Amino acid sequence: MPTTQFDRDSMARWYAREHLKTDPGIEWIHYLPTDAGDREIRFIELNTLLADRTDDALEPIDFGIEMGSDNEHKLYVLDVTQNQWTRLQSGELALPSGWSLDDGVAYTK
Amino acid sequence: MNQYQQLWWQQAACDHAAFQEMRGQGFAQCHTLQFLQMASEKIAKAYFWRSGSPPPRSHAGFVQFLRFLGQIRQPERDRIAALFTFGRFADFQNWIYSVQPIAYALERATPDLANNGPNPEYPWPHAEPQFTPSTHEFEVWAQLKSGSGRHLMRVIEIAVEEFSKYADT
Repeated sequence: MPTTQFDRDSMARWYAREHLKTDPGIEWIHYLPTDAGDREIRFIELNTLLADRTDDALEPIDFGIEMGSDNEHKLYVLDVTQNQWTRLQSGELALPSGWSLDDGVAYTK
Repeated sequence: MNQYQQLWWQQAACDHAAFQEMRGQGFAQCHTLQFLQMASEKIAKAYFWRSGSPPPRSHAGFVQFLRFLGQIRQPERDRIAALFTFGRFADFQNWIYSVQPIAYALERATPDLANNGPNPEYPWPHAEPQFTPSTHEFEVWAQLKSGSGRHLMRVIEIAVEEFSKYADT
């Protein structure tokens, strides 16, 4: 079990900056700390280059980082299209289980 | 590397070998493109399996793979940049940014992500087919033959061949 201090908010800020720096498709990133674990960073990334999807299940990618080390943490990334984001906001699409938009922090280019 | 990564890596390598064979033999673009897309998707999923959790079932994932390579933390940055033939990690990040549009186009080269348009497997549009993959000149294939595209194909090749050197990074 990791024992070192983990500054989730500053790590999230750093990841958001790196993602915006390396992917021209990302318009903005919402960091969603509400109900997330202490070592868990959840992102929704609005992606303008992503092919539009018709499936209704939104699945984030679980990107484990430094697994097995004292710095182990999880980064979950959910890319959404503008259409999916609109449907999420209207409640037509559901967020992944346990996720909440409350108190989200936005990062933009 | 865990056992799940090993399995996905093996399949990515097999798909990539088929891609190289087809490219060398002058197969139709649709087949060559399809195997490159499959190899890129599978090496991405091999990488995502590092968490021990299954990645989404969608054919998507390659662009996130490049994005995640671009967020690797110190002290691994110089090693990863060198592995992919870049002198500095900042150069690798800038290259990823510039090549992502081609990566997105490659990712969309599947029937379910092509929005009823050009794809390497089925005639389109679905309801009233007017085109067939076997004779189609794919825009993404032209992009892949450009300087940036060739570099992307080289990076995919390295990603497959050298997977064990960065699978846990």
